[in-house]
This record gives sequence, structure tokens and C-alpha cells, in this order.
Amino acid sequence: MAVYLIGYTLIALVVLFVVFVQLVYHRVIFSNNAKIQTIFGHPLLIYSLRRIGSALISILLAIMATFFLIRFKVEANGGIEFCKKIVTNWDKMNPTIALAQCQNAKANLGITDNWFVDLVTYFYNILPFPKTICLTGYSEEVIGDTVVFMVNTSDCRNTIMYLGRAYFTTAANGQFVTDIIFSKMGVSFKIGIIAVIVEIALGYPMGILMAKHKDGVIDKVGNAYIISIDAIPGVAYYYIWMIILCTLIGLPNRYDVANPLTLLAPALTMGFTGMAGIALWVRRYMLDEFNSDYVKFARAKGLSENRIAAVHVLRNAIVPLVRSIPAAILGALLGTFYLENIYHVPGVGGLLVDANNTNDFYVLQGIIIISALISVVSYLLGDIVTAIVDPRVSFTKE
Amino acid sequence: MENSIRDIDSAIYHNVEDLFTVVGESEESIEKLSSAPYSYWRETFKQLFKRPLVIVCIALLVIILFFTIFGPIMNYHPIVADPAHGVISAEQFDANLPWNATNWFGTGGANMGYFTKLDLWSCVWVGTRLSLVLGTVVALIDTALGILVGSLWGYFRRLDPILIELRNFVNNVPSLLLYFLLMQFLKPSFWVIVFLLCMFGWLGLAGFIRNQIIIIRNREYNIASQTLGSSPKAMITHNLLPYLVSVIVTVVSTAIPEAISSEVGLAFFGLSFSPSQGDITLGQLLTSVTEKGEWIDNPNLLVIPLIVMIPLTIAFFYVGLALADATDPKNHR
Repeated sequence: MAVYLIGYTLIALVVLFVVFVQLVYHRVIFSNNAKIQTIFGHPLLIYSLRRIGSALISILLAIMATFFLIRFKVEANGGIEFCKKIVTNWDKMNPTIALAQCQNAKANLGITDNWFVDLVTYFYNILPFPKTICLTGYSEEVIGDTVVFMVNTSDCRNTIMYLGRAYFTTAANGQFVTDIIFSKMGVSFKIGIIAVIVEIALGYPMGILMAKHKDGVIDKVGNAYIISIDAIPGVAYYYIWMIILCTLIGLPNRYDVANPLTLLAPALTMGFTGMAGIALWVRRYMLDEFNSDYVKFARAKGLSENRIAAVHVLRNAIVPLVRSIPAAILGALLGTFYLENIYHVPGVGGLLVDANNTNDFYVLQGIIIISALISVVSYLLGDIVTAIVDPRVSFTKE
Repeated sequence: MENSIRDIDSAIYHNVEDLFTVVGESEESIEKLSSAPYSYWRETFKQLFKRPLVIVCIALLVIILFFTIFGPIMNYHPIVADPAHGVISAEQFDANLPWNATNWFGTGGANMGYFTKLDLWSCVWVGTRLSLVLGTVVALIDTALGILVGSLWGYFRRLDPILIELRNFVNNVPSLLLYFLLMQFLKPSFWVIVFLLCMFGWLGLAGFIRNQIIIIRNREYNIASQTLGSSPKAMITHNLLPYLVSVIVTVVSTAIPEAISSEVGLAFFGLSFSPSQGDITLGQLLTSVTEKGEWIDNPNLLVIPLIVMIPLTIAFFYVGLALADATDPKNHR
């Protein structure tokens, strides 16, 4: 019951908020209240909501596209191939019973003969409001010539978002896709967050140094590094770091839950890669700012170059960059496909490959939905962070 | 100081004709320009070859290209089962031989999938050839589509919402996932891989061109041209695209290494060609070395594909960046 209460309250709040913001923006209500107008009628807020709305539409399209791709695959060869995979000992069974078992398993996965109903059911399941999902199991008894099915188990659960169940993925049979993805996210996030910290801690100073010593030795070395990261194929590049970090320095090269040191090699590789991108943009934005009038004025006043770079230039150059920080942190939840496979990390990236190899469509679809949701949330957080950092965009009265 | 004052005095107080020597009239010299004639592409190449690194990179590319064409001819051991040419099976040697007179790059290790015990010299150059062809084809298609769609996208504002939605869709869904889903239905062949690699590449390029066109669309010379009644086609081909030559050239030359890299990524997840059908790429070679950890015991097996792949991609990329500077007329003279 608690799930229902909390779930519906949250949905009501979100819907109310969106309606309220729209009404205030179009000056239907509170048109004379300046305070409410500046906060809830703010153009940035409306802009963010619109972006989220358009992102939700694209998620919807992605879900429909994958849904139909999956159905084509399931129905291939009259559905027999799929039944053979899903029912153990298909060949040894009584055909009637086997087919009935297959129908039952399909029903539990949300596959019936009517595609349209299935699509609606799937949307109902993934919409984030509380619902109870029940799976049915049958036992069959042969009485004479007829097969009688008895409902003998039912596995019900309250959930908010139901992404289906895994049915092929190794060691995860029958589990909820949401459960699997969330448990894998923990592992990916540990590596990803170290990588983000490394990336920011090294990328920003690198960009600043390169901008300050433009055309100097530091700038040239940095540019060579950035070019090589852009040019060399990712996989090849990761192995070069593996040779350096594991073979030469001696870090462990296989993930182990018990040993946190094993997180270091993939995290550092990821951090060193992301650092190049950050440094490139920090350098570019800082050079743009260095040419502006207020910097010339500050120089004319006799301020030191270090003070100009740190106080005047960096503050302005950083504004377009902070927008991407929430996306980087949330993106860490999804991990990286290549590194997790190279270092045998049981994260989301590894799950994706596993699900693809075993044709576990619901897991694939679940990852699409979760990653799309993450990108939507990062849009919103990015807008909010920009509003906080940039004094020109403000929620208060001008 | 004294002198210059006297010069000025003489210029002011004396007859102007005293300062010049009259050489007489000449009909021919009217047509002559005293400065050297300006040619856009000649100046571009002059700028390009000013950088020693560019010459090094182009030399590297020429060497690699030479070996992709003549390498297999110089020392070829069959690596592909090819019944059409009378070769029943690939020629196998002992596993993991070091480089020697027969196998110039040595042979594949014992756990290298298709490449087990094969001659690496032949594998590397045949693989580089397919990677290069693939990269070039993908880059050309990407560029053509990207320029076409991007210029229309930037010029006609009505297209904006549709294409922005499409871009959001692509950005919201991990492309690898879509590759996985699509490859459930498609059998890998040359054009299928080209299709996969082109699927999203052109969109990024189109978006880039769109941004550039929006920036220059409302400059005075374009507004003037529009007011005088230029057609949209003339506007795009005569006013907007020539302005973007340097951008386009850069994108083409960086698209080739990017396509090669993407193929390596596809091969890593087994989505690329199947080598047993004769399609070998650098990506598959790299994947086969790393798949079962063969390279940990025999690092030379990893170094051989890298030694070709890294100079190839970096050289293309660097030449592309240098071309970006050289093709920009602002940097000429």
C-alpha cells in the first residue's frame, strides 16, 4: 500500500507542478504577483520542461522501434525457434504440453498474439506509477487424452516501473530487469565516479595550463595527447593503457569484488580519456575569453596574469562547461561498454553484451529506457547547474 | 631626423617632378600586375607543406598505402579459404612463430580464433586494405549526406524541429544498443557494415554544417543576395557552401580515421565481418589477439596491428587538422 500512496502522490505533484508552471508562464494565474512570476514563470524553467517533453517523445519512439524489432525476432519461423529457447527440454516433451508451457512463458514475458495489446501493456508497465505485477505458473496433469492445467504458483510484487523479466541472461533467470540493472549500476558507478573525479581534477588544470602557455611546450604536448585520443581507435587505446597500468605498473587487470584496487585500472583509463575532451574545451573557451575587452582592461590595470586567468577568465570560461558535469556523473551509472568488457567488470556494459549474446531482449530494452531516462534527468540538472553558476541566468528579479 | 625633415621640405617646396624619373609610356605594362597572382588551392598547399609534421604524416600514409597494395603481393600466404581461386584452406604454420624469412611478421598465436597459426604479414595488409576501403566509403557517404542534409537543415528553418528531434533521438539512445538490435536481423556483409557505420555519422556532420550555416546565413552579403532574388539553390551552392570549404575538407579527412575506429569498435563486440568469409579487417585482428588474453603472454601479437593502426589513424587525423588551417583563406598570406 505504501508504494501506491507514495507513487501516486509523487505523480500528482509532478503533474500539478507542470500545469502550474505553464499557467503561470502564460499569465493565466498569478499574473500580478511578481515573485511567483519570476520564479515559476521563468523562461529557463519552461525551456527545460520543453526539452524534457521532446526527449520523452524520442524515448517513446525508441521504445516502439525496439518493441517491434523484438517482436519480429520472436515471431520468426512461426515462433518455434523462440519456444525452443525458452522451454527447457523442448524436444523431449509431449508437443502439446511443450507448446502450452511456451504459451505460459510467453504470457509471463508479455507476449500474446495481439501486438497492439502487448504494446499498450508494455507502456502501462513502464509508466512510472505503482502497480502490482503477477506471474503465473502452471502445472499440467494428463487425464486421459486431455491436458489439464492447474494454477499452482503466483508470484506477485508491487513495483513502480516494470521493465519485464530477464529470461536468458546468465545467472539472472526470471529476475526483474530493473533489479538486475540497478544492482549492476552500483558496480559501474564505483568505477565511473572515480573516473569523473580524475577527469575533472586533471582536465581543468591541463586546459588552463595549455591556454596560459599557448603555443608553448605544454600546449604542444597537450594537443598531441588530445589528437592521439581522438584519432586512435578506442579499443586499441584502452589496451595501450592496460599495458602501461597493468603490465608496467602492476595494477590488477581483472575485476574482483573483494579488492578495491582492481577498480583503479579501468577508472584511471576512463579518466585519462575523458580528461582530453575537457582540456580541449577549457582551452578553447579560455582563449576566447583572453581576447575580450575586460581582460585587456584588467591587464591595463596591472593585475597579474595568474589572477586574470584564475579570477576573470576561468569564471567566464567555465560557464558552458559545467552543464556537462551532471551528465558525466549520471553517465557513470551506465559504465562503459569497452572497458567493462576488457577488465571483466560485471557492470551495465557487461550486462549489455551478455544480454545481446543471449538474445535477452527485455534487458536490452530496459537498458535503452534507463539510459534515455538518465539523459533526460541530466538535461534538467545541467540547466539548473548553469542557472546557478551563470549570474546572467537567474531565478531572482533583475 | 635631419634627413627626414629635409625630405619632407623638399617634397613640399620643390616641384613634384624632381622626385621621380620619367621612364616613358609602355602599353604592355598596363596589363601586368606587380604582385604574384593568387590561386586558392596553390596557396592552400603552400600553407600545408610549410609544416614538417604534415610531410611526415603524408609520408607515413604513402608507406602504409604502398604496403596495403604491394604487401600481399610481396609475400603472400593464403589466409582465406577461397575456392574460386583454387585455394581450399588457409595455410597454417606453427603457432606464434617470431618474425622470420617466410613469415615476415611471424604467425598468429594458438588462441586467436580465426587467425590462429596464420601468416600475420598477409593478415595485417589484407586487413588494412579492407579497413581503408571501408573508412573511405563511409567517409564519402557520410560527407555527401551530411553536406546535403546539413545545408538544407541550416537554410530552411522549417526543417529544424524534425531534424532536431531526430538528433535528440540518436543522442538519447546508445548507438551500440541499436547496432546490437539491428544485427539480430542483418547478416554482416560489406554494405551492411557501411550502413551501420553511416547510420549516425552523417547526422553529426549535418548538425555541424547546420550550425555553421546558421552563423553565416544572416550576414549582409547573404541578405543582399536574397533581396536581389537568388534562388535557395544558388544561395546554398554559391554563397554558403564555398564559405565552408575548410570545414568540409577537415570533416572528410577526419571521417576516415573515425570510420576505421568505429569498425574496430564493432569488431570488438563481434558485430563486424566474419573473417571466415574472407573479409579481414584490422579491428578483427586486434579483437582476436585480445579476446582470449593471447597478448598477455605474447605482447608482440598486439603490437603488430597497433603499429599499423596507430600511425594510420593519427596521420589521417593530423593531416585533416592541418588542412583545416590551410584551407582557411584568412590564414593565406
